[in-house]
Amino acid sequence: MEFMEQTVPRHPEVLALTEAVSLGDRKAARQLVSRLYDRARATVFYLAGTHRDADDLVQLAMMEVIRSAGSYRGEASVEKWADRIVVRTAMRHIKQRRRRDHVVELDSERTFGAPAEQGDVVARRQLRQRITALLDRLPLRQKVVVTLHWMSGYRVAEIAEMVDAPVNTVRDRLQTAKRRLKKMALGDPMLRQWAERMHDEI
Amino acid sequence: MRSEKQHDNDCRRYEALATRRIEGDLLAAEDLDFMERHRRNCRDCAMSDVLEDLVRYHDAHDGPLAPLDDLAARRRVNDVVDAAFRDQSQRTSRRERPYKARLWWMSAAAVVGLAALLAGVVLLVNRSGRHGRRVAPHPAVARVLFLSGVVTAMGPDGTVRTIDPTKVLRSGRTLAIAERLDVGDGTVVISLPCAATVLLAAGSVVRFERLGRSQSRLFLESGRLVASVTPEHRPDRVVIDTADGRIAVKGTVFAVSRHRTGTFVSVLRGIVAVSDRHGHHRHVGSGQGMDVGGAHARQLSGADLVGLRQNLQVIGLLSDAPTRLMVRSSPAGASVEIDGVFVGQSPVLLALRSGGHRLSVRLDGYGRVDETIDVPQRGEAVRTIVLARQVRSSLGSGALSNEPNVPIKSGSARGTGVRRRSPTEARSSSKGRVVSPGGANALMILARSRRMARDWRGAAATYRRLLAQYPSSRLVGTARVALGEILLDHLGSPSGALRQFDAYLRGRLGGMLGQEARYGKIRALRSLGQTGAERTAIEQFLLRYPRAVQADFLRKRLAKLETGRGMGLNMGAGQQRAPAGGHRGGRR
Repeated sequence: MEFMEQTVPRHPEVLALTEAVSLGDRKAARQLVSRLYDRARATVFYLAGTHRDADDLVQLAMMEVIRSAGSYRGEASVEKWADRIVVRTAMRHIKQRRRRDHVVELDSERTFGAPAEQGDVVARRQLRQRITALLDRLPLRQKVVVTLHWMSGYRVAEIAEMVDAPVNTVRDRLQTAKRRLKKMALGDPMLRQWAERMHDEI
Repeated sequence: MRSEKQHDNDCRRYEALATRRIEGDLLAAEDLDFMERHRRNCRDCAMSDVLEDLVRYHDAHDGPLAPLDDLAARRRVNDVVDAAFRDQSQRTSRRERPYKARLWWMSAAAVVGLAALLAGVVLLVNRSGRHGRRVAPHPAVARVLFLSGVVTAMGPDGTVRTIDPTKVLRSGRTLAIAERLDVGDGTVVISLPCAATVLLAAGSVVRFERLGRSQSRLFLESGRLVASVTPEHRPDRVVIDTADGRIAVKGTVFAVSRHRTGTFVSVLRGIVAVSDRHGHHRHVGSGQGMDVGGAHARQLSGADLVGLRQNLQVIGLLSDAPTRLMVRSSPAGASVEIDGVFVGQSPVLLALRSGGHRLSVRLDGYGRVDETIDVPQRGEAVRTIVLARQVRSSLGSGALSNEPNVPIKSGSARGTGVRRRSPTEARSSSKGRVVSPGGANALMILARSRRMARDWRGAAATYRRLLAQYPSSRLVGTARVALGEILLDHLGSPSGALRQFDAYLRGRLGGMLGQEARYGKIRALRSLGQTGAERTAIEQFLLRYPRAVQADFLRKRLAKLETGRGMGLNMGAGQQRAPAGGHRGGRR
C-alpha cells in the first residue's frame, strides 16, 4: 500500500473551518466571514473611496473567500491568506469599473473656490473629492500601493505579499506614485493653495 | 551647476529617508538633522511632504471609516454568506451557458438518455426471455482478510452467528450492511469496498452502516479500530461514527478508540476531520491525537506511534486477492508471526499477499517452528504445526529439539506450498531462546488496550509483567518508556518513572525512544525537585536534540535554573509547566 505524506498544518483549527466552508457548511462560513469582515472592510475602504463602493467590494471579496476556502492550506494565518484574495478581487473590480466609467476629471471652475471664503465643511468636502479624484487618476497598481501603505497602514512587505509582487517593485511603485501625485497636486490650484497654507502654518 | 546637482542628490536622499521613516525604520541623528535642514531649505520637498500628509490624512468621500454595530455586522455577514451559496448553486446548476445552447444540449441529452433507456429495457426483456434469469450486479461487500479468535456477528434480521477461523475458509467471510460484529478476544481485519482496510482490536464492537465503493460508514460502539485508507481525492471515503462524534477521512492511517469516558483519535499519516456532537470541526494531523470533543490535538507519544505502526504492519501483509491460509497449531494458542510481524494466536485465518513469506509459530514451553511458505495468486490451504514440548539438550546449552511437523490437511491442488526448514536450520534459528517473544507481543497489545481504556494501573502492571517475564525481548525498551510515562503522569510516582527512563537510557543511548526517555527523565527530576540533576539532563538533551519540539521550553527552563542557582531555586511538582507540543502524557 502506498501512502501520501502530508505536512502538518500550522493552523489546523482554521483549516477545519475553511474545509467545512468548502463543503458547504453555512455556519462555518458565517464564522469565517465574521472573523475577516472588519479587516477586509478597512483594507478596501480607501481603495473604493466611498462607503457604498467599499461595502460592494467587501461583499464580492468575501464571496470570493468563501469560494476559495478549499484552497487554504493552513500554512499562513487565515487573515494573510484572505488579504490577498480581498486585494486581488478589489483590483479586478476597480479595473472593470474604470473601463466601464470614464475617469473623473477635475472641474476647477465648478468646484474651486477660495477655501477661506467658503464654509470649512464645504471646503473640506471639496478637498476630499479632489484628492479622491487625484488618486483615481493614478494607474491602478500605484493607487493600490499608495492607499494600502499611506491610508490603511500596511507595511511594504505586507503589501508585496498581498499584490504578489517583489518588495522592491512595491517600493518603486510607491515612489513613482508619490512623484506623480505631487506633480498633479501642484497643478491643481485648490490643492496647491491648501498645501501652501499648511506649509506656512508648519 | 554643481550646486544644482548637489540639490538633486539631497532631494533624492530626503525622499529615501522619508520612505524609510514611514516604513518604521529608526533613523540616525544625522539623518534626522539632514531632513530638518533640507525641509527648511527645499520648498519642493516640504510641499511634497505636506501633500503626502494631505492625501494620507484625508477621509474618503463619506467621512472616516466607522465600525459597524453588532446588528449591522451580523446582517451583512448573513447577506454575504447567502449570496455566496446562492451564487455557488447557480453556477453548478447552469455553468453560465447561454440559454439557447443550454436548451439544445438538454434536448440532445434527453433524447440520448431515452434511447439508452429503451435499449436497456429491450435487452433486459430479451435476456430474461431467453435465459430466464437476470444478471445481478456485483455487490459491494466487506471481506474478512484476517481472523484470530472467535467473532460473533449479528445479522440484520437478528440472527447471531459465530465466525471461527477453523470453519471459515473459502474466499473469506463477507459482511453485510447493518451487521454487528463483536470481536471478543480476537482480532479481525476487514477489507472495505472503498479501498480501505480496517483492523478491529480485541473487545471491539462495530456496526456496518454503509458499504459502498465511494463511501463506507461504520459505527464503533466500543473498542479500538485502526484504518488504513489508500489516498484518493474522493471526500470522506471512510466515516467512523461513535457516540461522541464523527471521524471522516480521505486517505490516511489512523486509529479510533472508544472507551467509557469518550473517543480518542490518533493519526499516523494524513489528516483526519473530527466533528463532535456539538458540530465543532477539528483537524488532526500526522503524529497527533485528540479526544473527540476536545479543544486541541496533541502529539502522540512514541509508544502510541510504535503501536500504530505494528497494526499497520499486520494490515500491510494482507491482500484482497482470493487467497486464504489457515494456520493451526497443536496445541492451539501459539503466537503466529509472518515475516517477523506478530499477527495473532493460532488458529488464524489470513489472506496473505502472494509470494514467499516467513512463517514462525512459537509457544512458551514448546519452542518454535520456522518455515518458508509460498503463497500463490489464488488458492486455499491449511497449515497445521505440531509443536513439540521443549526439551533441553544435554549436549548443547539451551538448544531445543522439535518433533517433525505433520501437515494435517492440504487445500486445493493449487494450495500454498510449504518448505519446512531442515532440523539443523530449525535448531540454529531457535538456539538460546528459552522464552518465546510472541508472548511479549501479546502482553504489549494487552497493555496498550488497557492504556487506551485509561486503566493506568492495569497497563502499568502489564508492562511490569512484560519486563519481568521477557527481559531480553526487543519490546522491553518501549515498555520501559511507556511505563515511565504512566508512572509520571498518572500514578504520581516520579521516582519510579525515573528508574524506568534511566534503565532505558542505560541500555541504549540513541534508541528510537531516546528523546522521549530523556525528556521524561527531565520531567521526573523536576517533579522530584532535583534541580542539579535536572540541569545536567537538560544540557545533555539539548546537546543531542537541539531542534526538538521541547528545546525552546527547555532552554528557558535552563536559563531559569541558571539564574536561580545562586538563589537556591527549587521548583516543586505543583509549579511545573510543560511546552504545548512536548508534554507527552499529561493531557491523555
